Amino acid sequence: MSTASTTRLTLPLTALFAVCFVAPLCVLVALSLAAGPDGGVATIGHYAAFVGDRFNASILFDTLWLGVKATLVCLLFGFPVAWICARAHVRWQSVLIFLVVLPILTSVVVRTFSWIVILGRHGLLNQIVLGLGLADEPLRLLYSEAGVIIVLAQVQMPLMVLPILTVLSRIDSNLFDASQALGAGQWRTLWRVAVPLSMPGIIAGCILTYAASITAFVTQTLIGGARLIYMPLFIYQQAVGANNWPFAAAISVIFMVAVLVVVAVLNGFGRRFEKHV
Amino acid sequence: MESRRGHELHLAGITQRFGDYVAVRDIDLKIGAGELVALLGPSGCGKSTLLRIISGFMPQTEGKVFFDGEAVDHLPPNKRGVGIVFQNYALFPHMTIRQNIAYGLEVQRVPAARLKTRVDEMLDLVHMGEFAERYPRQLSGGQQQRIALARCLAVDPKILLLDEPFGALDKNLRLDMQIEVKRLQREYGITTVLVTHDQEEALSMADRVAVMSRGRIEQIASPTDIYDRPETLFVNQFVGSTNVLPGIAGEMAGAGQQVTLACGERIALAEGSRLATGAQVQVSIRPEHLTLQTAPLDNAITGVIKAVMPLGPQVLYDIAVGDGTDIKVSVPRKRGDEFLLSGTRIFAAPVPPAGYRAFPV
Amino acid sequence: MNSRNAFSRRDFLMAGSALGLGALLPGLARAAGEELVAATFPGTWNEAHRNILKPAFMKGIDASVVQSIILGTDQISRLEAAKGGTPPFDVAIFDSPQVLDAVKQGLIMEYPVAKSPHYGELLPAFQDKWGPKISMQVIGIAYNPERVKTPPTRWEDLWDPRYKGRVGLTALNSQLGIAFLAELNRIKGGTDADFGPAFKALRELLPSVGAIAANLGAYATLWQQEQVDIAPYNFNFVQTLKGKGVPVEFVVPETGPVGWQTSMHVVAGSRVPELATRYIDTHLDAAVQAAMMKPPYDVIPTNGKVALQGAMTQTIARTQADLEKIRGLDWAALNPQRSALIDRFNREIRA
Repeated sequence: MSTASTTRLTLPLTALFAVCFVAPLCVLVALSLAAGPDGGVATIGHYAAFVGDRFNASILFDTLWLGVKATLVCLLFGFPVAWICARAHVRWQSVLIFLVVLPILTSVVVRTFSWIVILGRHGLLNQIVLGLGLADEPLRLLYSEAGVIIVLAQVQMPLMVLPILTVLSRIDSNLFDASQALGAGQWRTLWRVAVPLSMPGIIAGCILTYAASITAFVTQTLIGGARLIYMPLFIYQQAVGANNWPFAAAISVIFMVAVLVVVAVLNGFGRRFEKHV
Repeated sequence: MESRRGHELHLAGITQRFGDYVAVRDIDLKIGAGELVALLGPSGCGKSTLLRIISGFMPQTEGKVFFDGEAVDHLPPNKRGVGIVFQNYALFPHMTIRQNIAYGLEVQRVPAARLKTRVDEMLDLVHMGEFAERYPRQLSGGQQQRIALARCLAVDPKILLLDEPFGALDKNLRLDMQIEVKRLQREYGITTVLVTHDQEEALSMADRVAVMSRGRIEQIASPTDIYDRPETLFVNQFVGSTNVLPGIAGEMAGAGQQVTLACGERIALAEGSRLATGAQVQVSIRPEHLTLQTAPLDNAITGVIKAVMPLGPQVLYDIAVGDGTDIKVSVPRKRGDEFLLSGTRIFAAPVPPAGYRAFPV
Repeated sequence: MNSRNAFSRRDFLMAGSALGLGALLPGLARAAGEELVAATFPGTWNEAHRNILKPAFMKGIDASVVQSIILGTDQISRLEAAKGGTPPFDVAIFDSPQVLDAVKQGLIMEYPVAKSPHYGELLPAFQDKWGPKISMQVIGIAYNPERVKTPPTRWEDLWDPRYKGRVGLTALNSQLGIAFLAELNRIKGGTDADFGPAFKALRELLPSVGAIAANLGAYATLWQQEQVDIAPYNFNFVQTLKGKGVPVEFVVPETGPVGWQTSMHVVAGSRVPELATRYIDTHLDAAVQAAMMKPPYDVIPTNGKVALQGAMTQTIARTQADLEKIRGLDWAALNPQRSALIDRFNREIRA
């Protein structure tokens, strides 16, 4: 196929991209430079205001850090799940994969509300803890960062499991047998063979989970409440609550850049592994 | 550190069922120390299942596996001391050649200095020293094969299992590697089980060949006996090629039993046949065990040459016999010989010590 | 083949494209009856509007109505975004503070009183040239009677050490949050120019606070999950929760009821202003308001002909005269400070 016709074929996609992504982004950036709600001279005042205030910077840092913690927890549970799926008998495999994908079929809002029922003061988890006599007082899980991390990890689990599962199931199972035949137990095989070989999937899963976790407005606000302020709630409050659109736009741009940096770092990390696999 | 003494492998009454399907049926097999036994058979005959049972990846339904007289059934694959070379080599793609070979030694917590010497030793053994720092995908198939073998031997396994190890190599390289592997196996004196569907590979490498079919061992014997004295029609047909002619067993006449072939000829079987008189039998004779003459011969089948195929060192004749069946005769080609022509009426008879063999239907 | 029954490929294509066109241009397809889009709030309001207002409005006219659930602040931003073009909805529903913003930015038109037969029946306090007040929101103290045995009587009861870890609050992006903060400030001796006393009291309350909801939806969940036992809340929302079997009661503190009004407006630039007016007028109808006053809605009526009944008469107002005495808030002073208050609140409460 000639280059010209290839270009022509990609045109609709390029146009869609321009209209649906680039254009709104330009509007966002332009808005972030507006002096007041009605426009006015361009200013970087909103950026300066954000950077100059340690309170704002700490919200950004907390959000990025929350993403790291949620992603790690998600990986800790997601990898074994993917491993079990990949190694399971074919008959069980489809059932397991269905169970993994199931959460995607319900809305995040519904999933988050179910977690409220589980984590609440009189929720399932606390009833078990109190019933077993593990604590005298109900644990404070809802409206705590630990709760937000648990729920984010579960809600985003498919985003972690599916890329890892895809890579794991492409790995020649003889490699695992070879490792065992050389004397390695299951754990060493997992750590020395399965994990390094599934690194591209792990990185992809981490990028997806991370991006989804730090922008999960619904989960963050419903489980975390107003005292744990993360960037999405902060942006929402500035835009809708305080009607300060230019500032909201500026912090959106800052948030986006910060996330892009994290994703780029992860991506670069993943490239290094892909070379050998 | 390696013990040059091989270990004995004994499979006792091994049966493997998958639901109603019996993959391996009541296998008894004793392999002596340092012996190389080939499990030969078509796909689905149970040879790979047997290999997974020996290595411990699949617990058998019935029976026991003994190494040197000790049952190993309770040992997981990583505790059995079985080395496996896979058809696709299964080298770890994310590790260098050196790291691949060192893998099993690291598991055994061999000290760093000894580990390095041992790896170098193994690299030398397979003549791959200069490739130590490469990655597997940078090597050719044959080179990967050597590394797979070196990785396996490095941990000094009790039993070596070769799973179709030459299947992915091209024909010339395959022969070289077969010689190489045979050399290493001899040098190490390691008890080895070779799983293959390639009869040439089995016959050329093994001390004994076990021909398997539908979960059973049909015959286990030296390559010569398997080829020259097959005990079943399956072995006869699967190993080498053969002419099969239906007939009815007759009286004993001197040393050999008489058989009346469906094409009308009456022939005498090789010595030792004892078939019930009047029984339906299949008479078998290999193409290269027959000789051709235009003059009448004892114990011959008569026919007319349909086609002549000069195949390099052999000439293959396609001959139509009485009832419309064909037989093939392969004749060594000597310098200056003239081929017999199509349409020539000929006599084909076995060249002693070969003879007609018959199997009951 | 019988030619009369034969359906040619051309017929088929024409029928197909006609169907396609219909789907693409719903406006054309529905030319018969006009369509009104009305904003409504989530929760109780949405249910009352769907079950009572919509059927009453549809009676005897050839029009359809779409009720779209949007928060007041969101309505302002959407109308601002659509300024100059066709607005995304024709009827807006606002709480008092948003009316000021909407008027300032020219988002709503003056209410055509002459075309609204029921407007005159409203109590004078609820008549407004920018759009009639359709109800009131009153805040007080909600508590879980199973765990708070003595009903609270004063706002100060929230600070009672007995309720440590069980007090609930909501963030300032709701009217409830701002109203509570403003009332607290007034009690503690602050002024609209100085919120210091309110924030000082808030800081003292924080150790007792079990949860601060990010929005009103999450606030309701706090009660359903019995995560909090005592908190400032709206009269209406408490009635809704009670209707669902949640153990919660409402009291007005001894400093008196505080509240704001909810109103409906014809959006500037609406293509169907008559229909919008008719829709709002239906909401003023004494019959409609009487129906909405019944549980589970408990919407406070503004029509003078509706005699107060039910839970509201025990806590908020026995008669209509009492309604007019409910203290309002100075939104003209509060609105410009909203951004600063939210910012300060965030800093004070951040965990």
